[in-house]
Amino acid sequence: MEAYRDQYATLFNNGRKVTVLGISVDADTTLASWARDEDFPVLFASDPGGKVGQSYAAYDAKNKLDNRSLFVVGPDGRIAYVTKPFKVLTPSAYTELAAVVDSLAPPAKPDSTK
Amino acid sequence: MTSGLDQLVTERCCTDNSHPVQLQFAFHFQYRTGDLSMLARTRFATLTIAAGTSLALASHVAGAQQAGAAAATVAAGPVVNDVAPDFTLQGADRYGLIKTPVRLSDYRGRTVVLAFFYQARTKG
Repeated sequence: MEAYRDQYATLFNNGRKVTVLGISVDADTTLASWARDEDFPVLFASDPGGKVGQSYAAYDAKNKLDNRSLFVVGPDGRIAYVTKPFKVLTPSAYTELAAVVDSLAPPAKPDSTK
Repeated sequence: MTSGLDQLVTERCCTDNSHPVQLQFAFHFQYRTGDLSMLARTRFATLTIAAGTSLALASHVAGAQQAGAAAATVAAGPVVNDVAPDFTLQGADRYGLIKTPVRLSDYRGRTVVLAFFYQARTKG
């Protein structure tokens, strides 16, 4: 999630209507303490049984962990983009993601009245 | 002394391997007993078994295909343009636990990036 944090300002913030939601099988308290320690600007959701991970086919039943998968859900609630596995440490992985996010949630235009 | 039935059975024995044992048995037994009716009865029974097996096999295959297609949809997960499966989970952020559970459908009107990851405190 460090990569998301580092890319957050350019990718997801900047006045965009974007929420980044990290999902794992960790307990909510574990996620909260990690988010505090690392100062993650994103929201986390705790999926201890992997049920949501299973519904998105991200869950690895053998290791009881979610694989790195990324889904972009558009404002209409439909899947707009899927990457499995999402190579979080590869900078080029963000180029396509940035294009998708740009098309769905463009950055806010500067206020021309000021 | 080869009759039309013998000819049919001979052809079937040699061209169709589905039930060769029963047919060959009947074929030889016919020459020992001279009883053509037994050959006919055996052949009929064999065909009945074959037809029943085919039907059962066909329905089994069809069922398996349907189950396979359903399993494939679940195994592959949602694809582009599918409605994202809704969920409600306990949420957290850097300020602590979030009192209201996080429900995906509450975010309609916003773009949501769902990032599944291995585990807290792992690199990436």
